Amino acid sequence: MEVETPSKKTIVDTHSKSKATNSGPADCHADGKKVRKFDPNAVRERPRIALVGTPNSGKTALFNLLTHSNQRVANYAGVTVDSAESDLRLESGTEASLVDLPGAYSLRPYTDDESVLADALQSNAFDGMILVVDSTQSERAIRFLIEVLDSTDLPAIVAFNMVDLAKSRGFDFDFQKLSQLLGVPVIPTVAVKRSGLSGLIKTLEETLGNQKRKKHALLPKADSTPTTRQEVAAQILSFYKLADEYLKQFMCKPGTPDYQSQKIDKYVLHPVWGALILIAVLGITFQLMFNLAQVPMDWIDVAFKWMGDSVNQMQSLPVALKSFLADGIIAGVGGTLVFLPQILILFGLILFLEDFGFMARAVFLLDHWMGKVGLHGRAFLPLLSSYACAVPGIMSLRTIESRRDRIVTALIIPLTTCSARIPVYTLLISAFVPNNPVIFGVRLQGLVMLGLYLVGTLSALAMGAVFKTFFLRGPRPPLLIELPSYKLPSVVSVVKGLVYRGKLFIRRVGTIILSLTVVIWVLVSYPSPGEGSYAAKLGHFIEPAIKPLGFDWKVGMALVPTFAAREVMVATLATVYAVGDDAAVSNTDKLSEMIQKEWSLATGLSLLVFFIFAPMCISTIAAAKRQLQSNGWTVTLVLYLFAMAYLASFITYRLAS
Amino acid sequence: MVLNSGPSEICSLGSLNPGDQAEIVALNAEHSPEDYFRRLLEIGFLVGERLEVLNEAPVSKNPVCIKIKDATYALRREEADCISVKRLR
Ligand SMILES: Nc1nc2c(ncn2[C@@H]2O[C@H](COP(=O)(O)OP(=O)(O)OP(=O)(O)O)[C@@H](O)[C@H]2O)c(=O)[nH]1
Ligand SMILES: [Mg+2]
Repeated sequence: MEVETPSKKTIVDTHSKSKATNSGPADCHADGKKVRKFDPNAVRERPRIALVGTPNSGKTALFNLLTHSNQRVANYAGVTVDSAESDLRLESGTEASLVDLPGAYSLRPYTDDESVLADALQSNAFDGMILVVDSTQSERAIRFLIEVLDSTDLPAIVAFNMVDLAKSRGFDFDFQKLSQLLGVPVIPTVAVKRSGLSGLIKTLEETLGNQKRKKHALLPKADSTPTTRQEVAAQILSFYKLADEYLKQFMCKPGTPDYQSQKIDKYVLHPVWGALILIAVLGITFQLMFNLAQVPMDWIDVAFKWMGDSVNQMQSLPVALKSFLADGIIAGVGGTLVFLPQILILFGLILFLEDFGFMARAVFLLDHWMGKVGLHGRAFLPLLSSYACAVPGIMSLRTIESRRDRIVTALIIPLTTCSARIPVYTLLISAFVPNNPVIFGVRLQGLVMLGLYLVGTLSALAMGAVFKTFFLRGPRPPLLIELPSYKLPSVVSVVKGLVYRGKLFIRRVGTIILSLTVVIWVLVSYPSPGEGSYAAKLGHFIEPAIKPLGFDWKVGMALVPTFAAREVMVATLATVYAVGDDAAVSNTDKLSEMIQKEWSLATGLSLLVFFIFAPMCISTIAAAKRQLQSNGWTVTLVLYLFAMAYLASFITYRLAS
Repeated sequence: MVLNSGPSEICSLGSLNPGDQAEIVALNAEHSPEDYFRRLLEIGFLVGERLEVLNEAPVSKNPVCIKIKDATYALRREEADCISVKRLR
């Protein structure tokens, strides 16, 4: 849904590592105004502070709280894949800036997202660091801190994060002791509850004043940087030895193991229970999307219908203006906005699963089966996040180590059902599929929707297998992924996430969709409305090409702008039919009635199938091109998707008519 | 003569089953990719370290979840074989 605006097109080419940090907010979720691209070479007007730490330690959660941003936070390692910078106001009123970085287990990068961190730390672009520690895994974190502190003399403070979780498991720490040992201040924090933040900012300001940290190397300096396997191993061992020694001194009491997560895993990873839970969660979500969402959707519908009717009744307005407002803007915007409740339900599920800690488990469960199609289990994470929007999904390919696998995954991501397809699917399903109860209150429309998602997913996997077997054969890199502790997502953070997603969707409707709607209204209304319009000319021009699929010129006309944004299909149809009709079609039920009358069932099904495969949305193709780094593969991507869409639609149309 | 059986038997990490606890006795770098092996060390797979196999993936029984140093990781059995362990009760 959230697609980058052109000004923010900042995705890095992941292969030239020197350039990797020279990029902008990885995240399409970034708030465009405040979060900006971090440029290590830019002249610094204010002190710049880096957030450094092991993956999943809460760096981004801290970043969001300190800078009031909305970067993506989720409970698995490798959420942040690029750097992002935003302003930070210190207590005395001094302006500083904070840079969120990907996490890493060490400064020797294993994947491209880890290189972003390693390169950033070498770039000389910072005045200080906040070192973030997950206090429930302090030994591994301290090992990393020792490595970082010994590699640079930047002033640093330690945010000893997640102390709430550590406390509930019985850990007890002596922060003063740790601060003494490391030679930097240590502040306990809870990044999700604002706890410890003021202390953190105050200490940060004091520390920044000190210019350079008096570097007392924690370990004796090696004569040369270790290169051979043995030397590297020896160095890692010495870091751990020291960390262990520190641990004995600052951890007054070790906590109990995370029995709670182990208990939950007994069910979630169980062959029978796990499958049942997954089916139940998915089933309920899709039923909610069609049944619960109907209520708020009707409200929105009624509101826009009322607006359209009011405009039509205003006698004083010129006819053209009336049509512009009612058939163009209100029909287009209302017709798209009405899908907000459904989109929020899907995002609610994704946010919950991400924050709960399910994503890494999905990788664990599916690695073997992904192996059957030649893919790495890890490839499932970008695929999953593509159900919201394919653009951040493609960006997060950076966490995959093999270039071959990155290419294959980028090629199949556009087949996953991104949320921009929801409006189109919903419209077509409500027009052509009866909502009969099937069993136990499960209704047919929700089932068909789930089916469309399945077809998208299965064809993505099938194409993955094809590419992997015939074109990009290669060994499967090893699997190594951390399964984080389950964390019950706080209602506040899920609601906040949903509000933010909602705002993004509304903004998208207010900008891209609105402007496309205006253009379409003009094309449909001039020189004369309906058959005599420019739109009709354009539609008739492409009609021969799409006739075999069962699409007439109106459908053809509506297909053209979907390459900018899929959901504009609905707005276009609303406008096309509204202009030719007396009543406003801002009401979705009305629109769905209308196409039900105008189209055959075969046309409807053919269009549904077309939307599963079509290479739509320019932002996706652009992001894929940057990830693929090859014109050849990009052309392959577009062509194979187009061929699949055309063929599948053609077959569907033939079979159904 | 001591029978090499039961608790103190030496085997590869990949051959353990859920519920097993073990102590790492040796790391054999030769057959595994350099990066991967280094990463294992970095996250704490060191000689003398205790670990526990928590789960295995349903049906395929592979990968397995291994708990070590307060963290849990998913590893494939065949790749975890570069680690030799002594099974504990
Ligand atoms: N209970 C609790 N949860 C926290 C705290 N800090 C972060 N979390 C949760 O921990 C998870 C990881 O947080 P992130 O901010 O995404 O971690 P990160 O360090 O940015 O992770 P990467 O970007 O993957 O390196 C999320 O589910 C957060 O909600 C904390 O202090 N207490
Ligand atoms: Mg992060």
